[in-house]
Amino acid sequence: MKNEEALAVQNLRVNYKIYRGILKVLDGINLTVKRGEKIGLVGETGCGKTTTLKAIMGILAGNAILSSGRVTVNGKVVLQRSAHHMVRKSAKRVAMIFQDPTASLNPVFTIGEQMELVVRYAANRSSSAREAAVNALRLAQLPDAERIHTNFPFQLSGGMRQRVCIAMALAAEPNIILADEPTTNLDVTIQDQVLKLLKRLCDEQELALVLVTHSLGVARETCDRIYVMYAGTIVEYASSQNIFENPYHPYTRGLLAALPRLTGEGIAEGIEGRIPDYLNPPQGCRFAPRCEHATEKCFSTKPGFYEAEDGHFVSCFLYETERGVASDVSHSSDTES
Amino acid sequence: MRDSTVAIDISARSAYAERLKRAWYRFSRSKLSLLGLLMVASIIFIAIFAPVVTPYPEHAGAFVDFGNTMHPPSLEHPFGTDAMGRDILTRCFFAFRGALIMGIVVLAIVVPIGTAVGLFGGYFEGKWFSTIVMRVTDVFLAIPPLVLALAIAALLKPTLTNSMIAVCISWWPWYARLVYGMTVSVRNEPFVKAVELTGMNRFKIMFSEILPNHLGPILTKMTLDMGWVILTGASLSFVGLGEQPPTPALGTMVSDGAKYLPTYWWISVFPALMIVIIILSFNLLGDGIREMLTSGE
Amino acid sequence: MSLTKYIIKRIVYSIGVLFGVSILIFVISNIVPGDPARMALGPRAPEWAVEDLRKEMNLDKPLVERYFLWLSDLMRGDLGESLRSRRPITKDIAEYLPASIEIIALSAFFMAVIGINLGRLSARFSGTWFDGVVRILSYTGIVTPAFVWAILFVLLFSYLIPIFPTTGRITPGLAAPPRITGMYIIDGLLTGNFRVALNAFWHIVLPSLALSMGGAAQAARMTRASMVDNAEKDYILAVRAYGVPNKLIYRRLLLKPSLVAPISIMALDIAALLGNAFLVELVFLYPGISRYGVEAMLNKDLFAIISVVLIIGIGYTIANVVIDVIIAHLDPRVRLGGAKSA
Repeated sequence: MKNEEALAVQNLRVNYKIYRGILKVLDGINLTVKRGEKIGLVGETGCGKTTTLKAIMGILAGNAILSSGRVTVNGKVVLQRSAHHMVRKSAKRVAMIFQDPTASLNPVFTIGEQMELVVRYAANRSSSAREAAVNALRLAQLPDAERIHTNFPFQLSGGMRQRVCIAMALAAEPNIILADEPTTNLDVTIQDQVLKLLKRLCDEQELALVLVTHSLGVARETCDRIYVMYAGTIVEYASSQNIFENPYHPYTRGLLAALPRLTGEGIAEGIEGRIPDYLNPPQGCRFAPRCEHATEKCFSTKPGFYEAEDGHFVSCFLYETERGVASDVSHSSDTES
Repeated sequence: MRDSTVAIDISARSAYAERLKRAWYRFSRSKLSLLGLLMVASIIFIAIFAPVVTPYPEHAGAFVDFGNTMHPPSLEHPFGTDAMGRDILTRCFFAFRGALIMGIVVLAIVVPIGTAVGLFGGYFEGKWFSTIVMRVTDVFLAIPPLVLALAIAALLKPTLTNSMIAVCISWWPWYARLVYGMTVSVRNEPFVKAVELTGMNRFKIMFSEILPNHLGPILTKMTLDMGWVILTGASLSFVGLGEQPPTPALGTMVSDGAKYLPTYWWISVFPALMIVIIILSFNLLGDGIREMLTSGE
Repeated sequence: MSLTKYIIKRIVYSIGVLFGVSILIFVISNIVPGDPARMALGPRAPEWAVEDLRKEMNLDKPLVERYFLWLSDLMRGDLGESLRSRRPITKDIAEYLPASIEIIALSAFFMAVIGINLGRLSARFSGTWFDGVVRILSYTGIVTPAFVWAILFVLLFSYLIPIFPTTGRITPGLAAPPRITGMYIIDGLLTGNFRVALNAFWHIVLPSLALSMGGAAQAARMTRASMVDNAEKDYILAVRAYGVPNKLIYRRLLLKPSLVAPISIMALDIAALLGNAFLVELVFLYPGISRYGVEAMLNKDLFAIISVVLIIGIGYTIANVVIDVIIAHLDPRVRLGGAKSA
C-alpha cells in the first residue's frame, strides 16, 4: 500500500507572517496521489492551491510558517513539523511547472544552460546532460530542439515557453509532476494542446500529476480524481466523474452551477460572498459564512470527512449521518504553532 | 488593497482629507521618514532664525578676533573657531541660508523647464522637433553635471546667483529625461487616446491629463535633489567658484579648513558634517515620500 | 542583431552626441557675459594687450566661424594654448590626464567589485546582522560626498594610522618611471620598476577609495534590492526545488539577471565620480586633469576649460558605451534586440 503512494500530504497547515499579523492559509490539507495517478486540485484564486504545491516542492516563501503537517514523497518524508521548526529535505523525483512560463525561465541564460542544470542536479546525471536536455525538448514536442536549446526564453512564444517548462520538468526525471495552472497564461488556442501534451506524457511515462486549476472542466478532462479546495481546506474529493455527476458539498455545487461563467476572477456570480480573510478565518467550517445550509454547528466546529459514496468524501456536516467519519482533521495530535 | 471602510458617499473635500490622512499614515509608518521630516524642518528653522539661534551672529560676516583663533570645540564654541577667530557653529548655521536658497531657487527653475521639455518631447515622440529637443537634452547629459556646472560657474563671476545659474543649466536635462520616459510610457494609454478624441487642445492634454500622473515621481526626485543641489553648490564653493567670503558657505569652509588638517581638524570636519546632515535629511524625507506614494496596503 | 553591430551602432551615436557636446561647450564659453581676453589678463592689463589676445583667440570673428576654426584645430589635435602656462593645452593634457585615468579606473573597479560583492553577500544573508551593517554602510556611503570622504581619509591616514600617503602621485625623491603611457603604475610595470609602480599604486588607493564610496554604496544597495526581489521569482524557486546548490544560485543564476539594474545605475555614478574628481584631486594635491581643470577655471583660462570639459565628456561617453556593452553582454534581450529588459 505504502509503495503505491507517490505523494501523501497529511494535515498540512501553513501560515504566513505579514505586517498586519498572521495569515492562516492552509488549514489541514490531506491528499494522496498514487503512482501514475492524475489528480486535479480545483478552487478559486487565492484558496491556497499554489501554497500547497510550494510546500510539497519545499519552496515556501521566507515568511511561511509550517504549523503542522507532513509531506511524503515516494515513501520519504520531505517536509515535517518537528518540535519547533520545519524540517525540509529536497524532494527527489518531483518536478513543478509554474503558471507563468515567462517568470519560470531565467531571462539571461539559454534554455540549454537551464535544462542542463536540472539534468545535473535533479536527475543526478553529470555526463551527457546536453543530450538529455535536447531529448526532453523533443519529448515536449518542440520542433527543432537543437536550436531551442541555444535560444533565450524571450526568443520563444508563450506556448513554446510552457513546452520548454514541461521539457524541463521531464528533464528532472520525476515520477510526480506538479503543474500550477499551466495554461492560464496561454492563448486559448494553445491551452488545449499543452494540456493534452501534459496528459499524454504522464500516461506514457506513468507519471503522477497534480494539476492545479481553477477550472473544473480542465480538471475533468485531464484528471482521474479531483480535490476541491476552498479557503485553505479540502472540501470534497472523488473521481472526476463523480464530482461532476454527483457533487455533494455546497461549494462544489456552487462551482458547478457557475461553470459556464467561470473565469479567472472567481465565482462571484455563482456563490454569494468572497473568500474569508485569512487573518481571521472562520472558526468552524471556512465556507460557513457563504453557505446557505450553514447551521450553528458549522460556525463553531470544523467538519471532518464523510464518505458520501464509495471513494467520494465530503467535508460537510450535511453528510455526517451518511456513512460516519472517514478521517478527522480537527482533532489531530500535532496542531497549532 | 482590501478595504472594508470605504465610504462611498463622502464629499470631495473629506475625500481629500481622507487621502491626506492615509498618505500621512503611510509616511509616518517609517520612523526614518519622520526623522527626515524633523531634520529638514530643523534645518529650515535654523536657517530662518539663524540670527536668533546662533551664539555669535556677528561672526557670520567679515568679523575678525585674532585673540580667539583656532580654538578646538568647547562649550563656548561647540564646533571650535576658525583662523579668523570666528565661531564655526554660527557660520555653519548661517550657511544653511545660502544652501537652502540655492536648493529652492534651482529646483523652482529647473523642474518646470525640465518637465515641460520632457512632456513635450515625450508626447510628440517620433516627430522631428521632439527628436531635436531630446537630442539636445542628450548632449547636456553627456557631460557630468558637476563638471558642466563648474565650467559654467568658472566663466561667470563667482556669486551665489551665478552658481545657481550654473547648476540650473546642468540640472534641467535630468528632469526632462525623467518626464520624457514617463510620458512616452503613458502616451498611448486609453485615457490619453480618449481625451484626444474629444478634440482637446494638445497642450491641455499634456498638462492636465498626462502631467498629474507624473507628479509623484517628480516630487520624490525634487526632495532627494534638494540635498544633491545643495551639495553641488557646496562643491562649487569648495573649489572657489561659489559665493565668496566673508559670506559663510559650507563648501568654502570645508576647503579653507582642509589647509589646516589634521591639527585643526574641526575647521573643516564640522562644516563637512553639516553637508552630510543636509543630504541625509533630504534623502530620508525623499525615501519617505517615495514610500508614501508607491506602497500599497 | 549581433553584439558587434550593437556596439558599432552605439559608438556612432556617441560620436554624434560628442559633436553636440563640442558645440554646447563652445557656445556656452562664448556667450557668457564679459570679455574672455580681458578676464584672462585681469583688469589691469593694458588695452592693446587685451586687443592682441582677442585677435589671437579669434574673438573678433563671428561665433559660427570661430566654432569651425576651433573645430578644425581640434581635429588636428590642437586645443589651443593655455593662457596661463603658455603651453599647448594638448601637452598639458598629455601630462595630467594619465594620472587621472589611473585614479578613475581604480575607483570604477572598487565601485563595481566592492559594491556588487557587498550587495550580493547582503542579499545572500539578508535579515542577518551582516545585512544590517551593509545597509547602514551603504546609506552612509550614499549621503556622504566624496570630498568629505577625502577629508576624513586624510585626517585618518596622515594622522592616526599613517599607512597610506595622502598627497601627490609618488613619494618625493623617487624618480618617475620612463614615460610610455604616462600612467606610473603601468609604466613602472612595463619597465620593470616595480617599486615605483607599487609606490604609485599606494598613492592612489585613498583618492580612489574616496571617489568610489558613493558609487559602491549605490551599487551594493541596488544589487541587494534586485537580488532579494529576483530571489522570489519562479525561475529561482524552480532551481532551488531541483536541488541546485545555493552557492551556484547566488553566484550565478540569481546574480546575473540582478546585475542589469546596478550596472545601469553605474553610468550615473561614473558621472558623479568624474565631477567629484575635481574636488578629491584638490584634497589629495594630486596632479591630475581635474586639478588642472580647477586651476584653469580659477584663472579663467578659456581654452583650457573647454578642453578639460571636452576630454571629460569624451571619457564619460566612452564609459557609457562600456557600460552599455556590459549590459548587452549580461542581458540577451538588449544584445539580440528583443523586448525591453525587465
